[in-house]
Amino acid sequence: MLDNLLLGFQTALTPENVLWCFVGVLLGTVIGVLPGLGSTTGVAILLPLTLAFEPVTALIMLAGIYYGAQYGGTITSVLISTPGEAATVVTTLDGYQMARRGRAGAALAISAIGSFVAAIITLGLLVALAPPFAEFALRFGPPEMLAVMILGLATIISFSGDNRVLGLIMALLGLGIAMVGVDSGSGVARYTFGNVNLFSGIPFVEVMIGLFAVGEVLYQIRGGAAAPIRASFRDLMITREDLRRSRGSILRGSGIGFLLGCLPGAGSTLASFMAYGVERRVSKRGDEFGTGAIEGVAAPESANNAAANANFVPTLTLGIPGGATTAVLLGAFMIYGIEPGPLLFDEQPDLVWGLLASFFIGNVILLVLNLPLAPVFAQILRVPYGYMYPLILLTSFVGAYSIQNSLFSVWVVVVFGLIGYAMKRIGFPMAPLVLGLVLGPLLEKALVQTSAIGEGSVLIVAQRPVALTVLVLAALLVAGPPLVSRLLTRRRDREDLDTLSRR
Amino acid sequence: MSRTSQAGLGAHLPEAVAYGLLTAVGAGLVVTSFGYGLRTEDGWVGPGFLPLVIGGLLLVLSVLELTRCLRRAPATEPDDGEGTDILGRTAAERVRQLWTVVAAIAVTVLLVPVLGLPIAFGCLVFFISAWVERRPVVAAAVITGVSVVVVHVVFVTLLGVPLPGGLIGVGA
Repeated sequence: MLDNLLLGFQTALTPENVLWCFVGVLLGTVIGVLPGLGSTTGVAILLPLTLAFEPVTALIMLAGIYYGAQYGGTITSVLISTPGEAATVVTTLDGYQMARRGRAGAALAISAIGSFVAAIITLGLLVALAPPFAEFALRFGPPEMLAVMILGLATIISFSGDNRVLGLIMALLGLGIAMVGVDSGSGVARYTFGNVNLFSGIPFVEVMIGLFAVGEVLYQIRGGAAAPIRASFRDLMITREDLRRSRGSILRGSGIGFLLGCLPGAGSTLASFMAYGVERRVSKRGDEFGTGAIEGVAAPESANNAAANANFVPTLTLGIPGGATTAVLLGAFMIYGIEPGPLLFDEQPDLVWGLLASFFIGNVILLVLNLPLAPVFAQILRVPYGYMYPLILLTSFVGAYSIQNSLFSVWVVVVFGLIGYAMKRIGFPMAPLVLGLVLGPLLEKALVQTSAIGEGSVLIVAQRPVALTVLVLAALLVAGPPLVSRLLTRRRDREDLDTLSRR
Repeated sequence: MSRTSQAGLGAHLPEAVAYGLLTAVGAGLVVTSFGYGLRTEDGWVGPGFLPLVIGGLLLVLSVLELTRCLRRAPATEPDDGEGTDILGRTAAERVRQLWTVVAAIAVTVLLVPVLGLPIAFGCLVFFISAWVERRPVVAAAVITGVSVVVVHVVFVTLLGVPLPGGLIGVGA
């Protein structure tokens, strides 16, 4: 194992590979900053540039773009509440609030540190556990995936503070929006009203840009010009206290991210949402979440990076992409004549281990590049909002157009911008809606496949030990806290009564 | 309806309207789901099954929240920036500004097939900077020019995104 890793570092540490890894990380960060252009689009757009390279160099550069784009999305999530992709939606909840309080530098720094630590942990896990995890992931059939989706939706209650029902309503709305389009199981067009643009569903990246970027701009216009955020350089730096508070969150986020990232299709988004939900429950400062708690940035950022790494487990060992970006990377493998699968580790060890070692190098570059730059990026908040928001609108709409080269995408952004504004005014949470929208197609696919396995019955879920365990966990997540709090109240009342009767 | 409940409804009106709309969406999903079929011929889950479940839950929960919202104790209007902002703009002016920007965005998107995307959105940036935000015309023109050039370089030249040029043909 150690020999293989050494071989990987020998391959990845050639000056040429390090240089292209650096270029990949840099380009990825720039692309990630542009609204609508996430890691998937970034890798797809820049794939042709790598065709002239050796396969290992090309893959190392593409992996660099992947990480860079993810971090680029974090920068905009924190600074202007515009997530680059669904996996960084959760980061806006506390990251943007930290930025509003003059702590953007710390939020960006903890994202870079969390991502780095998660990358190191998951690299170790990847090296040691990739084959057994791939086998375990293979046992995850549709009933297990259905249970995981339900668990994902159950975490939604963690986002909604006091009003859990409202969080559930928003998730249901997201799931409802996800029903638009041609049903993958039967081929029936639902809620499309004959509009061809709606056949492939309402695109979630455009929805996200509308809800978060345009919605926030409209909300700020209504709220009125505020003084630019002029934090002192010291406030922009990450402190020892920040690091102490984030330690556990990063470790938990990394674990959750790795586990979910190993499952084909579950992806970074679910991992970041679940990590945030878990963190809110276990943190001593759970009530500070949503107001700028650093743990609320550290956990999801670690989770989405860990999941990005773990996505390579099914991709490399089974040839099944773990997420959208790894699906594009799988295409790149094919272009270079590489066939991922169980034999890849034996047949092309220098390529596989070189790629895995490049994850480490890429994350070191990301950290070295972005840690000192975090306070510099944060300076953007000094620009008066009146100058900034027309440019946010410009990049949001052009970015949305570039996703499908269609004006339909731009209209989706306009409509969801207005919906996002209304939701912010009323105080409805947006994150559950996005999670519902992302999980909708996956949930339905798992449901249809489960019913097929169960010959029409979905109760087969209860007969599968892993699925049942996950479902019980989901039930505990939903019913546990209110039950415990009710029991505690009842016990307190009884004790009070006893005390009174004794008097 | 008593004076108190009228006051309460006034303060909670946007929320009540939102729950009303969500109730309607839930009801719509339930009603239409039957048309898509709850089961396939093989007895598997059909295309109408999930809309029925989602719509049903949405309907019930939204009605519950709507009822709760209407019964809630009267609330005062939220004080979320109803005074003047640091530029001295009143709440009414900001509302006008908001709807001006929304209308400008809609007009811009409609103008894309004519002016092309970079020029149309360049005009939007100039309009907002110079008219809505009352920046000096020269500054607004410089911001617009630089941003359009940057968008062209990044999206068209570097990333190869074919932005529509419209009848003028700039941007493609």
